Amino acid sequence: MNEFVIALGWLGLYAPMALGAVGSIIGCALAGQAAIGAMLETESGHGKYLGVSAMPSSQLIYGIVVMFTLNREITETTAPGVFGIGLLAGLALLSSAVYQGKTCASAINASKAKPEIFGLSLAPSAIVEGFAVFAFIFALVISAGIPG
Amino acid sequence: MSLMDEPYTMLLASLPHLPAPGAAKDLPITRLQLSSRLKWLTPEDQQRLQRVEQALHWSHLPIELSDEQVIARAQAALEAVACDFLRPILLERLEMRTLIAALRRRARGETLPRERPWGQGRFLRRIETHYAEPDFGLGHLYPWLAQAQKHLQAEEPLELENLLLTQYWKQLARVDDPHAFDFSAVTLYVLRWEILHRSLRRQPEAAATRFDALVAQALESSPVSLEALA
Repeated sequence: MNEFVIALGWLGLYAPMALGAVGSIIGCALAGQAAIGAMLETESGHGKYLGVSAMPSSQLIYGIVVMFTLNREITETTAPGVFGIGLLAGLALLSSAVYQGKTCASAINASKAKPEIFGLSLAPSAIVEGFAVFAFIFALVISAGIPG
Repeated sequence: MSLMDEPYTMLLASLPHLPAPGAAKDLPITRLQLSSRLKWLTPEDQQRLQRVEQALHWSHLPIELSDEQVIARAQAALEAVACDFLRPILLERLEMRTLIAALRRRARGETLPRERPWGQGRFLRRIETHYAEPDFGLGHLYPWLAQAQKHLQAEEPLELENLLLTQYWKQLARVDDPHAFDFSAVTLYVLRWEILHRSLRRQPEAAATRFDALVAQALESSPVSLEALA
C-alpha cells in the first residue's frame, strides 16, 4: 500500500508536464495541419497562420511550471496531494490544448476566406487559453498547502 | 476518436471559400484541383463521397437506368453515408428531386405509377393523394413549388434549373454547419461546389468571354501568325 501511494505521488508529479505535452502535441498538430492547408490556398499571411498554430504549446509550459512547483520529497504524507493536484491540472491542460488546437484550426480556416476577421476569430482560442491559465494558477496556489 | 490520422483539417483548410451562385464569376477551384485535394481522403471516405455523388448528380446517372435503379442507387448511398448529420440533408435533396419528378409527370399528363417505386422520401403518399393540387399540399414546406410549376407550364427549362439550383444552395445554407473538420464538412463542400459548378457552367456570357480569352492566349503563344497563313 505504501509503495502504491508513493507511485501515485510520482505519477501526479510528472502528470502536468506529460499530459500538457500530449495536449500541446495534438493541438499544435491540428492547428498546424490547418495552417499548411491554408498556405496552399493563400498567397500571403503564412507567418500568422504558423504563429496561431503554435498557440497550444503554452499548456506544456504551464505543465512544466506546475511540475516544478509540486516537486518535493514524495512521502506517504505528500503523495496524495501531489497526485490529486498534478493529475487534475494535467487533464485540464491536455483538454484545453486539444480544443485550443481545434479553435485555432477553425480560426485559420475562417480567416483564410475573410482576412478581416483574423483577430476576432482568435477570441475563442484566447478564452480556452484563459481556462488553462485558471487551472495553472490555482494548481500553484493550492500546491502551497501540501506539506514538505 | 482519432485526431491525428485524419486529413480533414488540412484538406478543408486548403479549399477556397465558395461564394453563392449569383455572386461568383468563376469557380474558386477547378474540378481537377478539387479532385487532387480529395485524394487526401482515405480510400473508404473517397468511396463514400463517390457514392453520394453518384446518387445525387445526373452526370453519374446513365440515361438507360430505370427509375427503380436510380432509387436503389440513392438508397444505397444513403445507407453507405452512415452519418446522422448528412443523411437528412441528402434525403431532403432526394425529396426535392421527387417533387420535381412528380411535377414533370403531371405536366406531361401522366399519372403516378402506384405499382412500382417512383420517388423517395417522406412525402410520397402525400403527393399521391394530393396529385391534382398545384403544390401537392406541400406549399407551406416548399414555397418554390408554385414557381417551378409555372416554369414547367411555360416551358422555361433554364429558369426552372436556376430556381432549383437556388433552392439546393439555400437548403445547404440552412444546414446547421458545426464548422467541424470531418467527413460531413468535406461532403457539404463538394455538394456546394457541384451547385456552383452547374450554375456557372450555364452562363453563356461568361463562357463566351472565357472562350475569347483562351483563343487570344493560344494565338499569342502560337509561333505561326494568322496573317502569314492568309
